[in-house]
Amino acid sequence: MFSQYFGNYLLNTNMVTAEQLKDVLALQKSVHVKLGVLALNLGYMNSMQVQEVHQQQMKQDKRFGEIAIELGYLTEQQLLTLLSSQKQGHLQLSQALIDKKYLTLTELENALISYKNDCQLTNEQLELLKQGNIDKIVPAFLDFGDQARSNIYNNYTALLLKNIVRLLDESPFLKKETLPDKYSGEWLVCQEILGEYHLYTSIAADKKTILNLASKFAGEQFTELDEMAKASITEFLNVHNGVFLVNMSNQNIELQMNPQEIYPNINIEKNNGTYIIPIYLTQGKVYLIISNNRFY
Amino acid sequence: MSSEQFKVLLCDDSMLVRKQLKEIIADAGVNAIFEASNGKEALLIIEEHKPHVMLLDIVMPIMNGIETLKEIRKNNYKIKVIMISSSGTQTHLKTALEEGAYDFIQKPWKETQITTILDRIRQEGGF
Repeated sequence: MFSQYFGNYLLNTNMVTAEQLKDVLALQKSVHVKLGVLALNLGYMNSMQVQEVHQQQMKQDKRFGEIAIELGYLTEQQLLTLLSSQKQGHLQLSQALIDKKYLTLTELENALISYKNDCQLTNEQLELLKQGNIDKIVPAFLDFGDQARSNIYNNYTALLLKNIVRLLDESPFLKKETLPDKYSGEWLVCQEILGEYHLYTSIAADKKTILNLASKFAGEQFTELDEMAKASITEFLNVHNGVFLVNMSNQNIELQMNPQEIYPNINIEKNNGTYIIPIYLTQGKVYLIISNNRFY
Repeated sequence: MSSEQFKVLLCDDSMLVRKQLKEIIADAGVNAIFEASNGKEALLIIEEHKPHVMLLDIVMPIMNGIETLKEIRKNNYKIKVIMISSSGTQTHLKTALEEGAYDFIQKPWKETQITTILDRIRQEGGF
């Protein structure tokens, strides 16, 4: 998950090209994360110290950890932590960027710092993002105002991101940005949730994106947004909302939902309590529009 | 062994869900498969064709799955109803079981969940 967030940041800030990002995202799964990148990532060493150890490694047949301890850059405990976390997936993007020489260690270090600063993430939030803890990271990207609404909207958004991964095999991510005030688009798939919380939930996107997501959910390629493709995208929202209802039910909050609907050519103006949230995908984006007022 | 043909009714408002369920059930060797997109249509099919098993969604327009289940009990139709819904909340589970549902499958389903239950019903009924 961190790869999508950080990778997109590198692309938007022109630190890597689209081709380079595509290249490293493909490569990252097979990359073995080296201790230098790990130490940098955890803040145990700076890039100068890592480079110094690499220099020493060219001169003597010793492991990275041994030299770093000898030079006083790492404690034995820190080395153990590094070794145990060497398999963590979120570091593979960083390692792939270094291996491909798209970024130097210093550039990577600076990019991580500026990503954290630009997204106004605390150290803890950055760590949660690296760990892939989507439930806890959504509040760092979205502000839903009052506490009661925040809890439910954050839960809903986090679950949607997870279901996009689980059910559509996509890699969604949020950006730190001002949310749009209105949305005009080709298709709106919506479903009303009733009970203790009254929610109007929807996903909106252009035809191409809807077709892509409908194809992924159904496991068959749709080229036209025909009745079967519409049935697929609406069923995705229905299944997602069903899981949301079950989650809420497990917290002793019983909700119900009405049948899902789909509308073409929609214009939505944000009103109080309506949130239009862009969710970025590998190709295109989908908008989550959630409100306690009917907006469609 | 019953000489009667084993008949299954699928009731879901989603055309995609009906298509996917139909494929699974046909692959399991069931030839007589009926389809309905809401409870009202389903009740007419039950009356006319007397299917042995029904896979029933809950959230549907016109007549939802819980209302349909209540009608089935009221009319004393001899059909085993498997609820298959995305909305497996405690309320829905409790109501469905109280109203006599045979089983409850939460969407998204696994193919084996459906075939295992169907095999069990077929064995019980001697089909």
